[in-house]
Amino acid sequence: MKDKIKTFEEFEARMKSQEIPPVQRNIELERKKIYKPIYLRASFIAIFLSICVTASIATAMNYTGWKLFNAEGQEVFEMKTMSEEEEAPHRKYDEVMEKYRVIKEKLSDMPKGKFRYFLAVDGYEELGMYGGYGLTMLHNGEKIDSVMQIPKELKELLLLKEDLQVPEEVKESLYFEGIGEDKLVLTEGTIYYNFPAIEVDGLAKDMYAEAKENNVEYIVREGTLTDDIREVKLLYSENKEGFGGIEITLQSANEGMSTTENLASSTKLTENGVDYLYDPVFQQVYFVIEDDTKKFIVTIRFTTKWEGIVVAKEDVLAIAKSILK
Amino acid sequence: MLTNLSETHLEESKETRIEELLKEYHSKIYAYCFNILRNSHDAEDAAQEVFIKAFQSKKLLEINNTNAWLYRIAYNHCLNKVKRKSFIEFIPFVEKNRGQEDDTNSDMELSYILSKLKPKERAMIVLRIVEDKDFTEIASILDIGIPTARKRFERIKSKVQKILEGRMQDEG
Repeated sequence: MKDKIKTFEEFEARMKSQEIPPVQRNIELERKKIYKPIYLRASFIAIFLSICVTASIATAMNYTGWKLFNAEGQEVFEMKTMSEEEEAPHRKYDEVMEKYRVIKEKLSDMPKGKFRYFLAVDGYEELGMYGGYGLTMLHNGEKIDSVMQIPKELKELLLLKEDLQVPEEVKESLYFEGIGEDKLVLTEGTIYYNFPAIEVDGLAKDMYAEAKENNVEYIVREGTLTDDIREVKLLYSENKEGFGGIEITLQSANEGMSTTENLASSTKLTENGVDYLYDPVFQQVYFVIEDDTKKFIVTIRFTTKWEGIVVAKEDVLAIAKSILK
Repeated sequence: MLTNLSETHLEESKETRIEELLKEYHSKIYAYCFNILRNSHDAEDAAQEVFIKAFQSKKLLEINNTNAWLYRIAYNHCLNKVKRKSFIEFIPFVEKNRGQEDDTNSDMELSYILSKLKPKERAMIVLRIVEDKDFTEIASILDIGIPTARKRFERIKSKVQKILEGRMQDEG
């Protein structure tokens, strides 16, 4: 039994000398991994695959993937898992670029509507063996705080509101111990714009030559973003300080997307003529929306994963259906 | 500003950064959470969730004062946790636990005093006494002014002294 504390000074001393119980469990990085969007963004893929087309065709027979169809039975989107060979340049890129992390972060401070091309000499040389150039576009999204700021022609494709009703059955999946609000509010919205079309090969070669000539490690050039929306990301949470929530992402789509994610455990469901792809690992569902001129792949994702709670596909679908027109 | 940077490899950078932060701050944040929550299991959960939250944050790579930022996340997170649980369930250091082995290595005396403080007050005590932080840093973590931080600490100090005096009177 320890001595009685009689003064504040004794209390201070006891606070300082108290034994904190040791951590019993290692921090579960698995949870953290949940937040890593391991699919590679379309823009990056577009640039890479445009110069790796031979490799893609060579391995196309081996992919594992899914095809989504519209109500008329026409294929509208394909998601395929990259082969190891296809992943290799992306992994190499990550490896090479790690040392430029801080530089790239600093370079990311730029005016609205602008972006930067970044090319590292060693990146260009190392990725050359894969048929790539390691050309990176650094850019920022434009913050929005209301769905009203989403251009009408895009907004009208879905029933997007300032809040998101949480069905009762979804609450347990969404909140720790199922205690939480019935409605989530839009706490963070971002619009990303497309880059102008460029001839990657020529630009990368030119930047590489300039870097070599000036004997510098990397070269940066300025660019101006187009007005075309590439992606809209909306995070609905309890409030600004809330933990977790539901993220809705609309990404401009063409025929499909390659991903490093293993899609084997995904399930395809069709309801009212809409194909959904449910991914239990990342607690997300994909579906396609389109009109005569545009096509977007929509992802709805639970950003929090609680131990012992699996988000049922019906729960994610309930959210998806609530925003579908 | 790095906010909203959507360049693909940002996630890799964030992962590296969070690994660094885990190494440097995990035990400190865990101890901080423990002192607010007074329960090791909840503190472990809280510390883990704090780092997940940090990883999720767009500010992860732009923040200058990482120390204050992480403590602020931990502070808000622990207070939210407290809100979500009943006091009795959450803070198991009432007298009925005397004789049982508890998280604080049976320092029931200390536990008793802390049980009389609000979680916010415990957070202040930990920052000032255990972490030995100056009022500038405490103000930054708690998102209050420096004079307010100083006054708040003095008030808590008086409260602790009153608790001690009251107890001594009760015991005759």
